[in-house]
Amino acid sequence: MKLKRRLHSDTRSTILIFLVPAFILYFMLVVFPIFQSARYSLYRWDGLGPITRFIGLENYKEIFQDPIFWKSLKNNLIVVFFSLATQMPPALFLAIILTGRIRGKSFLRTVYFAPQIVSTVAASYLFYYVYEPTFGLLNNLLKGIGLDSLTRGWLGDPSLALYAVMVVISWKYIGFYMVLFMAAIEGIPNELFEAARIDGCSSFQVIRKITLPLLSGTIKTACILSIVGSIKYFDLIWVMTSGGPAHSTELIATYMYKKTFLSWEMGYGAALAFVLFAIAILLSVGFSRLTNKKAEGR
Amino acid sequence: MKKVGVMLVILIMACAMLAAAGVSETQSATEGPATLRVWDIYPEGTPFRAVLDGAIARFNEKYPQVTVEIVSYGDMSNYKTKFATMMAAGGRDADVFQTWGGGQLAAYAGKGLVHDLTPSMGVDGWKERFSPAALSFVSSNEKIWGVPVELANVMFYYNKEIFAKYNLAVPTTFTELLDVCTVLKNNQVIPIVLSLNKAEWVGDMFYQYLVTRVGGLEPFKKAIAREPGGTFEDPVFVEAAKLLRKMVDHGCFQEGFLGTEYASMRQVFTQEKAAMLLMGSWLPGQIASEAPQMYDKVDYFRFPLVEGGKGSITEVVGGTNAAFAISGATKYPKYAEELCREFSSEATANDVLSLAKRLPAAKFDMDSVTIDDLTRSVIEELDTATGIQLYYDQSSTPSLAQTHLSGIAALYAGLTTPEKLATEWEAAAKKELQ
Repeated sequence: MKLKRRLHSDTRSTILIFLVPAFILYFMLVVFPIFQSARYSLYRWDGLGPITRFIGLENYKEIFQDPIFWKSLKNNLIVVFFSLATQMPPALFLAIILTGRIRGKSFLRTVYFAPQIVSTVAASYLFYYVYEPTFGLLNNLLKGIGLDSLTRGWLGDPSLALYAVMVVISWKYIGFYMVLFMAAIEGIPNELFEAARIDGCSSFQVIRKITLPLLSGTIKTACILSIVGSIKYFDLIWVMTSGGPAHSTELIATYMYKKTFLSWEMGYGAALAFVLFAIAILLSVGFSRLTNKKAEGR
Repeated sequence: MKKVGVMLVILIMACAMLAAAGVSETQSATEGPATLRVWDIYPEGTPFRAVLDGAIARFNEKYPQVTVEIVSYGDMSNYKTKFATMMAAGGRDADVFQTWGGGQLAAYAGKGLVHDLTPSMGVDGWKERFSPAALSFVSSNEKIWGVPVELANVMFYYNKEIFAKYNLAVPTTFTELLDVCTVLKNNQVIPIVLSLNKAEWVGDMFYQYLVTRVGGLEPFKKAIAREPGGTFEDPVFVEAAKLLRKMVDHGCFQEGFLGTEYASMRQVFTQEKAAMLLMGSWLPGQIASEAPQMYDKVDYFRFPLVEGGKGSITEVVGGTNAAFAISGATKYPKYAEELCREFSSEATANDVLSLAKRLPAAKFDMDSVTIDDLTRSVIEELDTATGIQLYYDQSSTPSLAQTHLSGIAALYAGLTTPEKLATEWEAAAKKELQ
């Protein structure tokens, strides 16, 4: 008995010691900066000199009167919706197909996953040259098949630019969610499928009655990942359009970056970061509440 | 429990040692080995890289104990964002950095982040190596903060062959410019190639020239200095914006220019799909290295006059294109000054001209370099200029520059009106400059 307790307390302290370095890093790089930017958001500060001009909640007040903020928020919500609608269904579909009996499975898996491995900047430039208005691939293709009237300045058209960029985002992320779903499907015990088939289920019934219900947890996780990822989305938009033309692809994260580092309004940028933080938490908590209730209702 | 204690002690000691290592390499003197880190935008293989590398090699002959490390960012927007972050953290990562002078450099200098070059400039006639105009771009509060290396003026570059093919004469007035555009457009040639994707400053050069041609240099000078009567709501700024809209509506620019990037804009010109390009004097050098086969087809003309405008044809938009300043946090200010002296030596200035085909800011020796006619006449433009309009974004504080640039982009996109552009610009200026 005594020996057991000894062992127990020993493993606990070992765990603690191994956690210390990670915790120090986490504290320094994540927790501390969060509190620090909460403080900055209450000041008017250009990021260079001493922080002296305390202005209370003035920055937040300004944010809610800033038309560009509302425009960015709207764009963010479009990205959330579009990502959920265009990434989840194809990813699920591919995962189901590629876990079934099909030739060239591993080859196809690699192909669909490849965009996820390509660096964002490389992918951005690749698609920039697809969309390039004068000698880009897409416009030349359209001209080649006689659809001249459909050619556009894809990234330059304020009403189209956001969708043009989102196609690339989906192209990049479908593979990621596909792998997530594939892993979950492969975790479902084979007996269930066998039993269903013996009972005479069609493939469609198997998917509807077994695969999907058992995947619901993973699907929920994937949706939350996608929502949070879309709310704080930055890199691909930054490289392809930097929020342009004239803020039509502006997201809260790109606007925050511009305010902080290009306009030198560090306090305003910090306040934007906090608003972004709040929105991300609200949306993901809201989503998981909603789906939990549904599950209970069943 | 004892074990835990021992391990914690080891951990704390390790941390302390790391911290100590950080402290021990502090202020060593001006003698002895040192490392200077230089931040600039010129990637390997570009002509200007060769110019700077040559200067660094000459510096190393004199000071072999100094290692010069170059951090190069490739393009200006990329550089500026990285640079802002670095300066916000105290500017310790660069000893010598590239700058474009104007309001940004002044803002950093005002915060004590830039090393004052005024005393050193007085030694050995360093100051006399530059024209007063070149130094004014890197000065504020009667102090000199930077060393200009390259100047630039913005000109309309055009493809002579295309102009000849359609019997076009170089336009000298705004109306003639529109007419030239009509002819080119009717012949399926892009009249003027423009890029606004992440490069609002390219579009802003048209606006700056139009303002200068409509109202001369005074309105901007007064408005930015907040002199009595100076305002961005001056009719001059509205009129210029209207003319700009006229160019867009007239179809002077290629389809989708709002989505075109700076780098691919030049490709459209060198692939001879476009006839004209409004660009700084660094363009000929870039064409010579990127598309040498079409270099002979390129010539330039001055931005046309606007009928009834107050501006003169010899007023140019321009500024410093490459200047270098020293971080206030450098450990080796003496070495850094010596390196900057080499950046403005006659040998370097000659290289700027002959290797990079650009306009040296320091005095050079025209007789000792061989240059082509295009480069020669572009340089002479700077001598004959009666006034220089420093780029608006560089004359402004960072926040005002951002407001202005995004307003200009909205004007091109048709999402704002000339009047609204002026009102919002003035509102931002009032808030920012007080």
